[in-house]
Amino acid sequence: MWNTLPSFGTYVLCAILVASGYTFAVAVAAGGGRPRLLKAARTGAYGTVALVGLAVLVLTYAFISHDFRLDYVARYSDRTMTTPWLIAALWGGQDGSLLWWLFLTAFFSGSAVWWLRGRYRELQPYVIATLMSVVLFLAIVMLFGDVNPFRTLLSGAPPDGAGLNFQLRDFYMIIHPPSLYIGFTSSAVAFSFAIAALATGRLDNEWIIATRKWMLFSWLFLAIGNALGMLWAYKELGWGGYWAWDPVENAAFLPWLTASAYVHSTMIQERRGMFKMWNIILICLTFFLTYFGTWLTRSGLIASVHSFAQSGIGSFFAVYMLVIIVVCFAMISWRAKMLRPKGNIDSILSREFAFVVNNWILLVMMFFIAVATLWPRISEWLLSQKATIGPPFYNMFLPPIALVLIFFMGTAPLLGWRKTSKELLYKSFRWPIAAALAIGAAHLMLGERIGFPAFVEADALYDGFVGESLRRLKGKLPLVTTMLVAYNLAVVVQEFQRGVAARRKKSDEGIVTALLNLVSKSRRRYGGYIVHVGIAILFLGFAGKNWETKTEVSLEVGQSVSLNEYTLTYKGPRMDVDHEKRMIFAELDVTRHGRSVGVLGPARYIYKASPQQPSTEIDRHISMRNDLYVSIGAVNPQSKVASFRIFINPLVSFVWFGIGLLIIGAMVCMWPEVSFQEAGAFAYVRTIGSVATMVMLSVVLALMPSTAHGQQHEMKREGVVEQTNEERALFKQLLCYCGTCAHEPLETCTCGTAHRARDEARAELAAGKSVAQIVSDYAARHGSDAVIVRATSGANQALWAVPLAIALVGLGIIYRLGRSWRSTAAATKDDDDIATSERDEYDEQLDAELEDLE
Amino acid sequence: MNISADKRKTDELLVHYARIGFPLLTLLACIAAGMVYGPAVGALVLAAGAMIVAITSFWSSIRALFGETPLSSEDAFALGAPSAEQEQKRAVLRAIKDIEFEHGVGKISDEDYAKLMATYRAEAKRLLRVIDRHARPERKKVDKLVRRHLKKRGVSPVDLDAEVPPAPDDAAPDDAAPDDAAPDDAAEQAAEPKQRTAADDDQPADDDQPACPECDAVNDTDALFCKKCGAHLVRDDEDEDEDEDEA
Repeated sequence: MWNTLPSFGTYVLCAILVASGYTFAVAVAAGGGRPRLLKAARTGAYGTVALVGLAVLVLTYAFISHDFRLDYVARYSDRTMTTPWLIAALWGGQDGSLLWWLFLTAFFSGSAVWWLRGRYRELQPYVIATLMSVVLFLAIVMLFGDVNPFRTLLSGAPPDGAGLNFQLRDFYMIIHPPSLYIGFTSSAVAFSFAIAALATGRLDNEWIIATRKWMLFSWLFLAIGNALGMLWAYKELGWGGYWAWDPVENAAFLPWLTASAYVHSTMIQERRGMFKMWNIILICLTFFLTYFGTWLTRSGLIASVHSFAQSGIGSFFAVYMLVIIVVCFAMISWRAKMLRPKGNIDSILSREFAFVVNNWILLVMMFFIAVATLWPRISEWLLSQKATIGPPFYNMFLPPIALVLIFFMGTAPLLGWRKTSKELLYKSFRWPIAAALAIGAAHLMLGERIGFPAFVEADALYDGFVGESLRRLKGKLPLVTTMLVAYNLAVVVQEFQRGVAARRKKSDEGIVTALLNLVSKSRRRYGGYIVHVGIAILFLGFAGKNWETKTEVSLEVGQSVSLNEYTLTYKGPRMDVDHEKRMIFAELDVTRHGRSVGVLGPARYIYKASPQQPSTEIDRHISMRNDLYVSIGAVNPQSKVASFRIFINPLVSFVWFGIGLLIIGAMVCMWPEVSFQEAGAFAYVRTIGSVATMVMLSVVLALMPSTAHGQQHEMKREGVVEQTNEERALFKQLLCYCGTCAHEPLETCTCGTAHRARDEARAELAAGKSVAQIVSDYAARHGSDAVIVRATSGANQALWAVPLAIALVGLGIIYRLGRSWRSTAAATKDDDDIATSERDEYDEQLDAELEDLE
Repeated sequence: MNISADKRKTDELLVHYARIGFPLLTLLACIAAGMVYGPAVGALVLAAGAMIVAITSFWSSIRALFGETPLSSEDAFALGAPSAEQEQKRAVLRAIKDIEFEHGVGKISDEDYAKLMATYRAEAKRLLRVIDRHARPERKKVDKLVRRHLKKRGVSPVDLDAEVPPAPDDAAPDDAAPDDAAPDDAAEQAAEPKQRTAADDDQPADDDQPACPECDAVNDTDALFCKKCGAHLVRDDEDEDEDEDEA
């Protein structure tokens, strides 16, 4: 039925299937070294991309023209939605977001093919074939996995659609999923290069150099996507935090960790010809994890706030992941001989060794998160008990591991390749260590006075020795964090200073010119340092969580509440109406240190389309030190009494600032070669302009005002209720059982059920019950998955013991490798001396080429 | 032949401009249609553009597959990828730069620096030597071809030495050497008559026919001995094969 749009869309999907299959076959055939076939494969790839573009445009047309014959259009749009929202609805649901995924994969395939023209000709056929196989798989899923967005409604077209969920009608909704998808899908390009390298046996640095920027690109967009998700959660969900260790968040975080490991270990291969196999494995793992994450969240296997409806695509993804594993394993084993390292690590005090440790920690974190994310299913299969992990598990176990990583992040740049002598070690480390100690001492002495004590009292969540040790450790982490942040900043400042000094010694450049030249000559190195600064600052922001204050309060008009340095006075409610909703604001006058700083207006939105589900908009007063974050529970129309949740979140701005720096650093790394000599003044203008644009973009992203919705039920409270430590520890362990959220802890859940449950728990505490007793009663009442997993007792200990065991095995391998490296290094030491030879004509050529390399 | 060459040139020019012009035109049409008839029609115009691109791409892909389109010289060079040694050389050069930098900022002691530099420079020189050895027969061949071609045009070898930089200089930086050698390899590998004419555009008609090292007479491609003086012709090709294997 070509005359109807829905069938046309389906036929286009069929055409994509055929086209990608054709291109795959031609590309594989071109691998035999036939230029004619390669040309056919290249144009075939462009054609496939155009077809995928056509499918997206047909769906766009259906959305804009309100073609409600399509099930997907009817479910995710309605007639009141404006064009930008209609376009955003493309990725609002399962089917459309898979099509969008397919489109981005195809787009990056097309870009890679275009970028490849005239380069890497031997790798090209296999790169194209791999990319087309990914497109082929996605086309198969869309056509046969019951997720075809062009599927029609059996009952015929309804007069109007259901509309996009109001929670999704947010600025970040337009940009957050696409940037994550960009990160996910672009990793296919790096993967295809790895497969091409394996297929052709050209496993030297060629493919590493080719994939470097692609992987960094993928890494950057995963970071941006996650950051936007954090902003979205912070402003939208109203629970005062930005990262909840939701399975989908974890799914997006896992490939970022392996990609981070790769961007470091790739340098070892480039410089020393080692870790070839490891790099291939990391790329394959990153690609695998992007599909693993998709499988986790789209198959309905794990409950998440990002819930996609359960669908039949899980088995398709499972089979595909199996194919990825088998293909990668087979090809790596086939080429195992060629992947043997050419060099050895000479010393533990070398940068390559620091990178090995960094890779190990990143992978340990990856395993930790992966096991915990899968635990609800593992527990059900093996232990026959329902379980929910909850954020406290991650927040207890991961920060110590991450801080070890932060230590090595600072240490690696101080070590030289191959080895570092004792004098140089002292010279490199003295200032950073001095800075860390000085800041640590200052923190110890002044922290309490300025409201950021060096040690905090952590909540006891788990019992036993492990639980107690973790609690004690967590209490000390604020001090460790500030010291490590100071250490890292000092390292980077010292690196820049040394670089500038070295340049100025060689030529009489001014400081600014020397700095600019330094960065432009080795962008990857200094861009990387900027990323390090970004991450250090990010951790300072995370540390702010240790000093947060929160309260729930109910106020009459004119009443005030004081919290730390803030005083909030309730001015009364105000109502506004627009074409789709009524908005009820509850305005609060805010003073800080006695000085007025403005009016906050958290609000409730009541949509005409869904009046039974009012949503709540938060409001913030942002300063460098704190975010004052207020969300509204309920406003009584008669008495005008309003209930609020007030949070003081210290150092949150540093999180966004750190992410901004991370983005700038990654941009510096990826910046294409600009010849200042040739381009003259314009190059400077361009570079400065681009950096300024990036800074502005990150600031705008951080401060962009956006509507927030999310809280749905009545919350009424009389007077001020401040959480005691005992309550906080309890609320972290009890999970909401309302059935609509993904078992969020009572500490953060904003729904009415959680509100009631908190009150009940408070009453039980007041009645003299112990925390442990309340938790076990709660589990008996609402099921074992309504409380967080007791990670330190019974079989649940596997949660941390398995990753720990894997980590120890990794450490053992590193130790053994280190020993064998040292012995071979000792054996080959004499060879170094023989290497010196007479100067000949090749020296001239070498010097000339080195000159050109600048 | 001239007519078809002209036609091909026009075709190529057309394709070249269409690549930039067509998307631009579609975009303009989309904006115009969007403004006049609303965004839905704008999306339709874009969709039509995508469909045309898809159809033309597959049309050209299938034509290329069946050998109906000439292969551009760039496509014909498809096998001239840089050799493994060249890749290694690049990595070693980068490593040397890096060591210089680290030494400059004081992360490597003078003693270590001297030792490391000696090792890496020796490795780089070894690679340069290998690359040079591989490129030598190709260079000889290119040099000979150029000389013969110019001789035909009436330029004496003396002028040639003065005007044209000697081949080794060309071959020195990066990947030039194998690329220079590639047209012959590619044309020989994909030994189809139509492709041969494609390569002919860039080179004189007799380029891939071996010239006699003794008397410069042009021989058939598969000739083992010179038809004029009887000298042995095979050696160059044999060298070439060996090089290919190594690369």
